[in-house]
Amino acid sequence: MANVTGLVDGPLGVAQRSPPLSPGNGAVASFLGVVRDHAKGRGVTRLHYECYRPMAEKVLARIADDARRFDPALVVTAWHGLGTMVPGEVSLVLHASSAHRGPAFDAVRWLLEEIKRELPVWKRQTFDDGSDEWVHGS
Amino acid sequence: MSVLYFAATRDLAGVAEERLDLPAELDHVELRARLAAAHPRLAALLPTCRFAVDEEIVPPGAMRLRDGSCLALIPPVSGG
Repeated sequence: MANVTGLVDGPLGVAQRSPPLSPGNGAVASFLGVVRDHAKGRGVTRLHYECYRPMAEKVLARIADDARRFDPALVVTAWHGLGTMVPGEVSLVLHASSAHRGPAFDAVRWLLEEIKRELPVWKRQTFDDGSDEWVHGS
Repeated sequence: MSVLYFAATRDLAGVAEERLDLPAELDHVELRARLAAAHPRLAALLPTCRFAVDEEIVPPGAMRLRDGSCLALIPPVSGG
């Protein structure tokens, strides 16, 4: 199976949250990034995500390919949501599917850290007092 | 050459995309100086930014730009 990656408008739904299943892969490790209602001790009412789309699409696909270092047969699904989201909505979905649990767990953690380090996506958070700011690094 | 600004760099530059005349070869120090001259409000953020040419991050040091290249400022990312 091929990796599936992409950036889509809006929060991620059930379709993206369902991992692809294949009989040869006995382990799927998944990660969901959920919009949090607080940051730095303050209430957060919404996040707004934007990206450098052509570069982000390439980088996300490349990161998914690179995760095969954990297992040449690994299959990755990686979706990032864009635009405005409120707390409780899902902004990131990762699935790493492998024959065995070790590579699946290792790959999903690695994918998350690489995405946070390299994917050209930025979020602006709005606090409950109405002020807002770009988050730089996370 | 077109220059793209995202997130905080766009807010500070006041523009999402513009054309700037830049030399075909320059290093990061010179590039930052030119961008700061064009947009003084960007100056404080520039040391934290990386640069992408035609959608690929350029390592620190000298970079080569050709006519038609697209340069993007990449402030620290915050996806996830």
